[in-house]
Amino acid sequence: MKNRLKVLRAERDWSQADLAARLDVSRQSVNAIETGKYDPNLPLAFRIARLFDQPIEAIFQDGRG
Amino acid sequence: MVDRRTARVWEYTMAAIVGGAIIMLAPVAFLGRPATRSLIHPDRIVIMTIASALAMGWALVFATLSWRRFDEFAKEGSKFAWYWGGSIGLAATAPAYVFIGLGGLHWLWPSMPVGLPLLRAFVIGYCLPLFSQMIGFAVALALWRAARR
Repeated sequence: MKNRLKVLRAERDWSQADLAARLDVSRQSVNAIETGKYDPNLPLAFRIARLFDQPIEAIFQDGRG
Repeated sequence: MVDRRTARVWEYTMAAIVGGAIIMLAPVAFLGRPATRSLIHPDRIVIMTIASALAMGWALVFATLSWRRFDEFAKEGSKFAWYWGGSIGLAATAPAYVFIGLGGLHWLWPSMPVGLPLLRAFVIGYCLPLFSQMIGFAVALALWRAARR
């Protein structure tokens, strides 16, 4: 699954640690999500969407068109 | 830099290990050496068994606290590691079990004692954690499914 987390984070000039603190997860989690090595569960995906004030599908794409 | 959540998990882990070890070993310091040369000391057996149970209870409390501090990513990693690492590790012991059970150590080092009582002790020692783990797995899975019906 692809995502725009890194771009959205960069737009706000946040470090991975900043984003991790805002989402109440570890920095390793943020890194794994950004690099596409781990897909967040639904509650975390909703938290990310709320934090960036965007719908989930605007942040995460399943790569099937 | 370690974030607060990860730091707390490490604190709980250390508390589980250090606290558990202290509880488990404290009776040894108080009891000292056995008064007689007999191998079986009922009071020692009871006290040390209770201390072991308390130590595991202590460790379990901190393991629970630690698990609650895990985020989803860490939980997934832990589940993967316990399932695959634990299963493969367990499977890897099977050849060692057969080799030792058939007297392989005595064959390599003839000075090593061999005999039926030793074989029984070895089989019990091997099977106790193996069956406990399998039963624990089955119970945890049953509880997990029951909670999601």
